Amino acid sequence: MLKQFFFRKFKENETQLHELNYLFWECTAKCNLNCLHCGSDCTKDSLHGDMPLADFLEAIDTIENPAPNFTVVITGGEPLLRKDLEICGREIRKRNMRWGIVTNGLLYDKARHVSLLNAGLGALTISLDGLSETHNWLRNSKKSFERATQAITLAASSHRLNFDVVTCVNQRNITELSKIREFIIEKGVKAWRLFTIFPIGRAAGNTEMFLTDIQFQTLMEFIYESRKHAEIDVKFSCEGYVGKYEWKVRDSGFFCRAGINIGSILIDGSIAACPNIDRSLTQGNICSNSFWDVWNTKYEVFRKRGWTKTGKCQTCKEYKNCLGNGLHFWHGNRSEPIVCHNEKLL
Amino acid sequence: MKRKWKRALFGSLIFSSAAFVFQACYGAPGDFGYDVFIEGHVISKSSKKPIRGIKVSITDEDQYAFTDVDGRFSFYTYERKINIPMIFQDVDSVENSGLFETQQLDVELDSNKISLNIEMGEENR
Ligand code: SF4
Ligand code: SF4
Repeated sequence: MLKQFFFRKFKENETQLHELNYLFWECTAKCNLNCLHCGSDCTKDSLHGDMPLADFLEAIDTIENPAPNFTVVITGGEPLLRKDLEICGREIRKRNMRWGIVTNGLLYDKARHVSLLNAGLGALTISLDGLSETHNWLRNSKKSFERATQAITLAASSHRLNFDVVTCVNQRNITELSKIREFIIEKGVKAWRLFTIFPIGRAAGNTEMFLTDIQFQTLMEFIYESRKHAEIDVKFSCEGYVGKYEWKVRDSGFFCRAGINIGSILIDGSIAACPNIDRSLTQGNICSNSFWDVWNTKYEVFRKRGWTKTGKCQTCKEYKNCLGNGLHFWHGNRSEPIVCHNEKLL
Repeated sequence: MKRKWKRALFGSLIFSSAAFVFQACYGAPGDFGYDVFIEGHVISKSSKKPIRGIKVSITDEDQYAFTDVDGRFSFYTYERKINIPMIFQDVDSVENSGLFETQQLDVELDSNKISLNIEMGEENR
């Protein structure tokens, strides 16, 4: 109780501070896979070309006194499709900023691993959605498991990388979580993050993607139990407020930092919070606005979340701790979040 | 300033340094690690001309780079408590202006940016 009280105060203070710690850069909309659960519109030949590095650098050069832990996280699409990724990374490092990528691992071979490390890559996340058959099914590609495994082995061999594996939990892989855990421990992975899939993008029409309430409870129990083992740090992603499992499945309580500490620059130049948030919450565009001005003068909708007290959240007893769940669950007319994790656990 | 102080206070009251850890669902972990930037220029001891294609490796980590046409290389590597063991090798043999002797070096870590000037002697065959 007391812990929740102080955590709320901590979150209020962070919201007032509004320090930018984490900036997503959607550097390309191209992707070399066609995953069943993809929430974006990425294709092999996207309509958008890659964002020119100079445009991104111009935007981040507006940032005055970046926070010491400020990190640029390069996403896509698939960032490894950018041939100049290492040049991008070196330019970011020249500005005393750190950088990381999120990848499906398909193009992550030994030579690329070394050139990315040389360019100062500091953080890496690789997706692994199951053992061979399940992963290849979800990723819609026969070679993706083998390649992701190769990438994981390389990443785990590095002393420098802050590296984790992420898994989208769905109806097919929920029964193999223990085996996946054993597999990645054996590969030397030290951190594993699990998240669920929500009904937008390609996943929307595929019910196999979504967990039933009982399965979601099973997932929480699995994470809770796994956190008792020292070999690997297992956690639930930041995605939602999980009621009775709060503080048990993550290192801290639920805190959606979108627009509070997290910003993004999307492929079309939009200035936003997390890339998976409804585009109607875009705050500006680097083509016409200074990124830093937008960060400092806009983002009100993220910092004052009273508007989320509507629909099922209006009368919810947990509202003060949850504030309407992750903002990426608010779409369309924003009448209520499309997912409430807590109600799955009641 | 006051808010940063409050951050530390509330952070400690919830008994968790993890309150400061950043990560969005689909993002990478925040990078709090430190590293060292090493750059250098490799020339021939006899001609003083830059040598291209020299493999510059760190021997306690699987990390390497090749010198460019101007004999330059650069990379980031993780910070160590010990000196960084490096090796300079002419892996393409005579292709780039001769055959050079392998050189080993223990680089002292006295700052997070290190510049090296390396002269490589030609091998007598
Ligand atoms: S109803 Fe809304 S506020 Fe309540 S737990 Fe669910 S998402 Fe959170
Ligand atoms: S919007 Fe979603 S992904 Fe972003 S911080 Fe909030 S919960 Fe996490």
